[in-house]
Amino acid sequence: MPDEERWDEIRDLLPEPASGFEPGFPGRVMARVAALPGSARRSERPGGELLYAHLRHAFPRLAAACLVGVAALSLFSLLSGSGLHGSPLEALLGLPETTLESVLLLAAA
Amino acid sequence: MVRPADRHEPGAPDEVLLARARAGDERAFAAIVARYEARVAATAIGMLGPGDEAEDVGQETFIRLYRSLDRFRGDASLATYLTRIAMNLSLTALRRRRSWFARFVPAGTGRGMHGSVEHRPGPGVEAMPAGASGNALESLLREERRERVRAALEGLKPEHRAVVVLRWIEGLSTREAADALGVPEGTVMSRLSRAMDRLGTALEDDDA
Repeated sequence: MPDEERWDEIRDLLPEPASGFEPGFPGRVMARVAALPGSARRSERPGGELLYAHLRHAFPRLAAACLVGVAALSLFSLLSGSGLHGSPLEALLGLPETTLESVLLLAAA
Repeated sequence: MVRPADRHEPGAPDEVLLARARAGDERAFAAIVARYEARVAATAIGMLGPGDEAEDVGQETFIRLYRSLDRFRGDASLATYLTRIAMNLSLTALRRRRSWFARFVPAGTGRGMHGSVEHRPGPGVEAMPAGASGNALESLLREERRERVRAALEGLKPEHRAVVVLRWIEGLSTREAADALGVPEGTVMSRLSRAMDRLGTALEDDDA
């Protein structure tokens, strides 16, 4: 008998997948959750606490993205100028170059 | 299809339930348990057979999910993640069971490697009353063959049994089975081929 037919025959003889455990399974799991020690247990937090939980969950990703941004900007600054002629961000925003003279003039005014 | 959890959380996507469970909403976690009970049961009972051991694996699977809610990032689907936990726990239970039997049960005492009673042909066809209908005979023969396959399945190596349970009993794709087992797809295919050969041989041996 070809392999494919043989496999089909065996597959037909395999047991059906179980559709669940004994009735009340979710209740038994939740009873175990309730019996977990305090440190492992999550206490319900209302309203703003939920937002806080979401933000805390997202924080590592946000922090990582910011770090990458800072690193990229620093590298760009380092490669594109000595720092005496203003940063690329200042150039981008069209800000005048800050010199000791301009600071003194501003202080005297 | 209406999933059992929809009684409590109609249509709420997994991500929403997970976020609420992370924030301490136990009703949301209970809805996850109800939604995935069947999936976890198919793996645990498929691997271990029905009973306390499979129930323990099922409960432990969800307790582990609860403990790791903050670490679950959704790289795999929740279904795959739970199947992976349930399969790992089932494999550990099978190995523990095998080692227990090897240590404490003398060979030839009528217990299979995985703790089930070895297949013994029952009264079967010989016991059929004369004049039994063709359909009844066919049904009895089929039931006997089904029992042989079940016994042969229990005799497979745990990792071979795992691919049969995931691919043919639960109906996962090769990719999904590979994800759940943490092995390449090629490994799933080769294990499945070996497992099916063994099941086929077991049937032929009994037929002979």
